[in-house]
Amino acid sequence: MHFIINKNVIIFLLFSISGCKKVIDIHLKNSETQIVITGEVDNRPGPYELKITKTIDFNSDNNFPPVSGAVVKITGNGVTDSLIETSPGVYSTSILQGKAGKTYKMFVSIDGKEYTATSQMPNPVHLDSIDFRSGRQDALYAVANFQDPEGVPNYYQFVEYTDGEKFRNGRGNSVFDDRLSDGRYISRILYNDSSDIKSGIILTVQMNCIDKDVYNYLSELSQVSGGGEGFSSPTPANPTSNITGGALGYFSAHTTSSRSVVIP
Amino acid sequence: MKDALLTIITILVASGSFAQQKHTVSGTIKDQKTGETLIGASIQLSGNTGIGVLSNSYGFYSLSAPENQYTLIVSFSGYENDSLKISLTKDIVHQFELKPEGTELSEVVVVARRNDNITRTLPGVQKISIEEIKNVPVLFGEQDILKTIQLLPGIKSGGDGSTGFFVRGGAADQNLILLDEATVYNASHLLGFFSTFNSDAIKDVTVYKGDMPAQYGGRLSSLLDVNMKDGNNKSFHVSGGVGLIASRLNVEGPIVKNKGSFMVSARRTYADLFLKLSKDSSINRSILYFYDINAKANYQFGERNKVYFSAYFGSDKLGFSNQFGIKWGNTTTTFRWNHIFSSKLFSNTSLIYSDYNYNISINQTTNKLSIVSKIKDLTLKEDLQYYAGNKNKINFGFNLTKHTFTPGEFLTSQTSSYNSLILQDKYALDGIAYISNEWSVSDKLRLNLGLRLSSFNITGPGDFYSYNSSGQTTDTSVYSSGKIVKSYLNLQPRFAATYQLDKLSSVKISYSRNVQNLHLLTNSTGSNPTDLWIPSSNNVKPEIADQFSTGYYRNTNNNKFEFSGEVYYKFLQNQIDYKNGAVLVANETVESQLVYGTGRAYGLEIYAKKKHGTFTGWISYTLSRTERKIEGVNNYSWYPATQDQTHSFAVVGVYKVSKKWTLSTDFVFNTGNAVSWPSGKYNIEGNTTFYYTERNGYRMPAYHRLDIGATLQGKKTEKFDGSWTFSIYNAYGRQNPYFIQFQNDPGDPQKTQAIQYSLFRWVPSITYNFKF
Repeated sequence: MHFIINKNVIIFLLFSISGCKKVIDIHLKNSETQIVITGEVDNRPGPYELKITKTIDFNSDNNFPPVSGAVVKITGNGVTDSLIETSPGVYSTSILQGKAGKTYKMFVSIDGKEYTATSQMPNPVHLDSIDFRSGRQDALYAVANFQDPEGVPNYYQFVEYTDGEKFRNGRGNSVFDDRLSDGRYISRILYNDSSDIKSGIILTVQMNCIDKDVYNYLSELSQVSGGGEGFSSPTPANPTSNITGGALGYFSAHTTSSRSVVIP
Repeated sequence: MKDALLTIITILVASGSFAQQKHTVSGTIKDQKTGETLIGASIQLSGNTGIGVLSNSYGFYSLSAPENQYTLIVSFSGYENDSLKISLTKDIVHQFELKPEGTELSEVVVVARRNDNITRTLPGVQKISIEEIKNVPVLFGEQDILKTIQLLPGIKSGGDGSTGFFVRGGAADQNLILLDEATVYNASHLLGFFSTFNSDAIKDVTVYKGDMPAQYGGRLSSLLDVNMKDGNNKSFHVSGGVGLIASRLNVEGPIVKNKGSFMVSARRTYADLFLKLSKDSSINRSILYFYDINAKANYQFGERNKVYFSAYFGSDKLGFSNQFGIKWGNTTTTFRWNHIFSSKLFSNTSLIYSDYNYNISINQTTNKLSIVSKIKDLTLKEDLQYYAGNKNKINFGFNLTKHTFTPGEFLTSQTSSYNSLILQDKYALDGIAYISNEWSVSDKLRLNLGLRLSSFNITGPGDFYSYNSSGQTTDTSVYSSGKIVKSYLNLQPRFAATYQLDKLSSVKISYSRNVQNLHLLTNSTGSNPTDLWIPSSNNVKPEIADQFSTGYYRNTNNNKFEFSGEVYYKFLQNQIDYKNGAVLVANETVESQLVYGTGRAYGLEIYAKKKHGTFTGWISYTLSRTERKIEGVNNYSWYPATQDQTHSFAVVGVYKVSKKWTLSTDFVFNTGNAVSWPSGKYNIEGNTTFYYTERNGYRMPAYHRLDIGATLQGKKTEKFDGSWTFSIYNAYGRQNPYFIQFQNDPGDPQKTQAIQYSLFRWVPSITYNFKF
């Protein structure tokens, strides 16, 4: 819940008076390479993609090695689809169609090691409108307006695109749950990097209804993004994945609802 | 175990019954100028009698000896000795009034050079005088008890400008902080940059690092016992100070001369004036300040009765750009009645109220929301001290506390995105009984034997949940008002022995058990006003600590120099942590988010102090290790706790250059905190994400800092006394890491980088203090 104040506000005020920051050299340990799987199925027409990469050392360049030659299957709605590797590490469905309320199972096999995950596609929620709210130093944030269905737990993920390009989405506010908002009409401020929000650009907000495990994963992920956002963040740890078998990442079956507006 | 207990009880009871035909001299020890009672003054019978006692927290003393002629010698640090010839043929009552050191017209000045550090039975006790606190340079020039005690061995700082502290590896919520006997739940202002204690209002501060007397308990790691000044009962005085960031005013005087007095002390910061300087409109429209008020009054009825009333009220306000506001604060009030039943039996009855609350209001166009959270205690406490002969002092008593927890009331407007939610209040009854004996077995051997029994009961009304291992609710039980949901009965033995090798040195050994039934859930290492206190319950078990410690104490040069070396080992049970991604806010089933484990801490503490002369100060060094082992964390293997600092070193020096100038300095060096940093990275949907392999497997860069200060004393007359204090915090501008963030390099998206944030460099301050 972002409205609970944390120490960051004060820290922010103090930094504005006396603080300073600098890039430092830290020797970080290397670790054994891990498999990273991200896969999504939604209620739009396929194909859907699943990506497999590997972890790298902190000091390496950001080229994340793809994992080729994996056996990848997704089962759901009475169909088993064997995914085809369309480019290194990227696997695509051919016949599968996502449908709300159905459960989808992921199966990945890499060099004899198996990874599985299950995700149930929730019912869709309609994104009504997008408007804007100004923040600090002329920052502009998009606000997603929608009616939360009463009586059922709902979990939301927001993805923003400017002129069709997805932009940095790691700012900790990209997921929301209705634990304290069940049945309300919700105006959700999307505290994303506001430097991308410029007048005249087309902004698309995609609101996904995700299942609980994926919400937990993304919510924990946002808490540790940036290695913890400082003093008031919990001790960083790897987010709890819904993939069994020891891979990092997540597998999500979700419904989506999108709106596009020209930024005023 | 049972046999051991029986033996202890037998000793406790039997040791009180040695008294022969003796007479008693008793009374109160006070400051001659102000009438303030003196706590811990020493009263000795002349000659090699070995008979002596320290005045209690109300200045009371009582000594018994066989019929004879004696001289009573009274001494207290910073005061001239006093003596009285008595012929002890009947019980005598005598009030001593000691002359403060350095007052005019004193002919032969015998200044007290105390050795209580040698003779005191409990190890791990640190006393610090308000004079010492005043001389240590601190951030923004605000004298601060909590920051000064962090310069003592075994007491670690929570970070730059933090008042949160960690004693011998304990967590910040494992410190019992008492202000005139009332529990202070949040001892920090402005989220830890200042403490709630205004040193103008404080008389005496003692820290017990785990080995507390049996009348205290309820926290695992330490007791910080803070006593407010009573107020001058001879004449009216006003003192105060004006600083860059805060101003203070203190008024004290007699209600009826020599019979009763009052003291009122207030403080207000204006830190937010600096925010006005900012060009950023959301910053310059922000507010950020606190104020606090300490008040105390006392009145003496006849020879045997004295009543005290003390109160503290503090409040912090933070408003961010008219959209967001939070205020929080503590209130404590204590009413006390001292009654002297006989020259040997002293009683204090206290009625204590303490509360801590916070209020949040959010005022965005459609989202209006307010949150209230509270903890409230009402306590009745009875403490009795029986001076049985001259070899035994028996303390016994009980206390009864009713805790009321209001975890959160969320009220929202019609158009808000949030529903209103009122979390159930929680209730607990906490009963304590204790007995202890300070027993002088011989001239050389002193024992302190104690037993404390606590009964903590969580009661209805309310719904109580049971959870399975994955945190899902398996059962809900509804309890009606007053019905006991769960009781915890804990016996806590305390034992300490001091063997005095000679007048200037001793060895001590101790064991103590502490039990804690109130637990702070916090997501961070600092203090947030929204941190949640929860009681032990059907799910949360009491935390238990067992501490063993031993030490060697040595003074030299007629007690001018003090030296101590102590080692300790502490084992902690039922320590609380939470699951990854735990939801602690507005959660009726918050206990389902918790995981439990054990802790251990051990260390060596060295302390050397020069107490007298134109140059005074101390050096402290701690070598220690603090580890935790928690279910589901770090593969259930031991890992260093965040506050684990291998080396911790502090030097404090105060030099009186002349009558006008006093210079002071302190230097600290600590190993960096244990932190979890990534050991790899990966890509999730275009974002670089960090890979973690172990809990707290890295170290922050070491922390070090030098502060300097100078005080210029103006012309001092009977009527007026003014002084200027100048200081520079972090004099060489070390960029101490506050936190470290990992991110993609904005200049080169192929790279990731670590960014260090630091808070304070070269913070100068100037304060004018006055007194008339």
